[in-house]
Amino acid sequence: MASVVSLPVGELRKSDGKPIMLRDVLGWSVDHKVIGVQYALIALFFFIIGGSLAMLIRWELLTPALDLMANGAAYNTLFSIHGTVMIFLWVIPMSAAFGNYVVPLQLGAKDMAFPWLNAFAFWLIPPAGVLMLMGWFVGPAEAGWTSYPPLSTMFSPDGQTLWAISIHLLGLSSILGAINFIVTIANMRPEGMGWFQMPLFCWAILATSIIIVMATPFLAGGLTLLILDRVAGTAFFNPAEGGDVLLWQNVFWFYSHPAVYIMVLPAFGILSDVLSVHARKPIFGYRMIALSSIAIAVVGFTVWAHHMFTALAPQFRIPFMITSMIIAVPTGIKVFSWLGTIWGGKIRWTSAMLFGLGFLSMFVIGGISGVMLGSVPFDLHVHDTYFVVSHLHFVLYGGSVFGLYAGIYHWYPKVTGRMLDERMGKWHFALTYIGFFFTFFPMHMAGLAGMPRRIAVYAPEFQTWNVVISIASFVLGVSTFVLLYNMVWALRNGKVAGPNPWRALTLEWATSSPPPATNFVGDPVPFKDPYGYGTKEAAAYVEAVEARYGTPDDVAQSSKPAPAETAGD
Amino acid sequence: MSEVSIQHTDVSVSQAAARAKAKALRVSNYKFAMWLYLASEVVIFGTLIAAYAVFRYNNPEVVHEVHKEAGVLLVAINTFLLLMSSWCMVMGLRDIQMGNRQGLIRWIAATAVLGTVFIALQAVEYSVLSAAGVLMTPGAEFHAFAAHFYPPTFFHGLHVFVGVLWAVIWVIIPAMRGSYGPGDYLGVEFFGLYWHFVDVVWIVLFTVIYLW
Amino acid sequence: MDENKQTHAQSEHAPNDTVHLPGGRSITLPGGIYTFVFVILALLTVFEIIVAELPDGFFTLPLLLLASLLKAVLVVTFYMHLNTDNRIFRLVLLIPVGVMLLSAMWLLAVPPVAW
Repeated sequence: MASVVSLPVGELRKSDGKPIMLRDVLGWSVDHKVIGVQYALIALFFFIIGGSLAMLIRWELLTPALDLMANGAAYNTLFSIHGTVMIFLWVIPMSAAFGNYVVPLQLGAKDMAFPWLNAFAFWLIPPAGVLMLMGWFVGPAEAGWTSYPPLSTMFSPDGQTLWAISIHLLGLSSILGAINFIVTIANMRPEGMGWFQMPLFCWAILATSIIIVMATPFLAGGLTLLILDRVAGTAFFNPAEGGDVLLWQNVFWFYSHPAVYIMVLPAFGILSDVLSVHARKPIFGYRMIALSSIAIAVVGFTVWAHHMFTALAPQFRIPFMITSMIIAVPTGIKVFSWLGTIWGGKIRWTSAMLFGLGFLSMFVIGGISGVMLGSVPFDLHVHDTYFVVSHLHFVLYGGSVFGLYAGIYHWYPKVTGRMLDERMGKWHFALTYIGFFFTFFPMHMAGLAGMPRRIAVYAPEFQTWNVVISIASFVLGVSTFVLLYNMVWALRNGKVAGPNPWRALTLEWATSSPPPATNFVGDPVPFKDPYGYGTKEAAAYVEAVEARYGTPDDVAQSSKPAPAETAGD
Repeated sequence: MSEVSIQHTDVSVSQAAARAKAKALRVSNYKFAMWLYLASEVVIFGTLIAAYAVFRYNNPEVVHEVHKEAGVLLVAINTFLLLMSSWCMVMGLRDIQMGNRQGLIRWIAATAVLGTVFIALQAVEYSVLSAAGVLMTPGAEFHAFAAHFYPPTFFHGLHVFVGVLWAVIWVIIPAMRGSYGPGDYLGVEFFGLYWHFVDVVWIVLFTVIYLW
Repeated sequence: MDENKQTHAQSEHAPNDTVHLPGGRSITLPGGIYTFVFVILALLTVFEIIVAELPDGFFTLPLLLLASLLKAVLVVTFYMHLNTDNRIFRLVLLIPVGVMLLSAMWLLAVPPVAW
């Protein structure tokens, strides 16, 4: 049976894509590639801000007494804004960055279904970020990223209102983005790509978008009530006037537990792509990985009250404990499928792969502590201790952020046409991995010993652990700048990537790097299996791509006058 | 097995077919997006209604008292107006599908007028309730009820208001200028989806807030 | 929806003012099914108001909810064309409604203050 390799061969042997310039990024653009870069840049900016706040937190916690911050309230603002910024302005926009840049390319589409809407959704983020930071002029939010009333309604300064409006805008932005993703993925797949020939990253973005469309409006509703309580004198959350203080917790977690999957599912998708490409092996259990994303999206809606075990009447705890245990199953399916993917693969120790494996190891720790927390008797003891802080950072940093790092190393060549430096990448990985582990693993011990979260002054016996944690966290903070430096450095000095530096089979690699304005010349026809590595057909396909778009050497030859003033990543 | 044939992408599809395909894609894209938008609206309204329902469940006497004060006549009229507007809307769509643009304009104008009357009557209702002590200000007699009653109904009223503007700006005026025809009624259908959705929300609100 | 389906739907709309009822009978009235649905909606509303005005009983709430559910389904099916449109739209509507009902029931079940 002759297979079909559908790329025309023998023409167009040079890159005709223009790199994205700084002026493109600063202005209005409806090109999904520019929007993707815009998302990434603003997310990285807020990553630095959120990270600086974390550094301040760790500095304060070096000693049991209050020394860095003027008072407890000032400390409260640190972790409140740190959490909110990291979640809403770093992890979610960064996932959207990959979604925007990669999904249309993987689908062989020229753009998203609604380019204008896409740009609009992005431009809601800068004002939201400004509102969030403007809190410092009026007294920033102090109620944590969870903002439980009455803390958030009666005790937090005006910055809390700005916080709520800012989250409102970000929620709107992600709903619009998600609608765009769902329509794009459902309607704009090329001929020959059924649902189950779609790259797994698209599945992950689809599942994420379903959650966003259904869960984020909850947050919008809850925030509206919160704003009304704060500015219009209503009392939705005030039992003294007929309100219900648990209403916020229910509504908030009804959004925010699914939001945990909003944050981690894109990283799952990145991981599926990265592991398969860099292990040179077909993905193990494609259907199971794809469908488990959807299963997570659905079951994710039934577990929210496990965040509220201590506030819950006893008869309601067990059902939520059961669903919380159940949701570990689809996640476990993924983990085992990833292990099956790298098992016996021809692993290439690229930085992307290292971060992928880092994700696997660290996320499993976070997942296991999640199951521990999901069981009521254990949770009642460690609720609101550093054990919880440790758990959430293991899944969010060790999971989502490691996944995003892997994505950066994996797709940076496509975006800029240049490779990130592998040596710096390995340094980055080593520093991050060690810094991360010794920052967050000791938090388990501190938490089990009884150290509560969200406090600036703690009992002296916890100091040893806190010093370890703080020092490791400074290493972690520094490690980020290795990546940032690498990204800027590689813009001019990185090796020329060529169309397909990883010899991958998904469609985003079947065009020049960076892709031309219309992404593809002609209609691309996808390879029959996006992860069918290791066959002669796959090799022939990759060769056909290189014959058309040139190998890295060809591209380096033809673009000798180096592109000037490139900016972006 | 390993023989690989290289196939060029097919460019022989006729231009007209390509255009038709692009248009069909556009139609289905837009409608899909509209439904997804409505899905998120379901959730927003759902939160507000659920908040009311919790209040109603815990404070049945208060709600009974307010119902006694307000009576059901005004809101029943309003319900009929909105149902009728929904009917007018769909009749307008039917007319444009049959190529009758004048009919479209007349029916959608009726829809918009009914929507406007709905808002006016809701304002009357609000003033009646305020006089009876259903006020958002703390200390008013039915303060707690007001806090759960006004947000969903006001939010719904806002949707009706937006719908009326939508009808005028994107349906009636373009139709008077000659847009829309039997093969080109996506804009009308779009507005219809929105308007009927607002009607469905009212059906639920009416039952949960005014009758229960 | 592709072009063919659209013209098909249009020709379906054009002549018929006849509504086929389940029992094999049919009614003809201007506006066809749309008007027919409107009449049912109006009747259901009247029914609801009567139920609500009667003294509260065990069946009051279930009857109200049933009537309003029926009305909502009628509007969504016939006015919003879910009966003929792309099947995926049903899913798009039903999933959030399900999620909503779940959460609303939960909120109703939880006592207003912590135990």
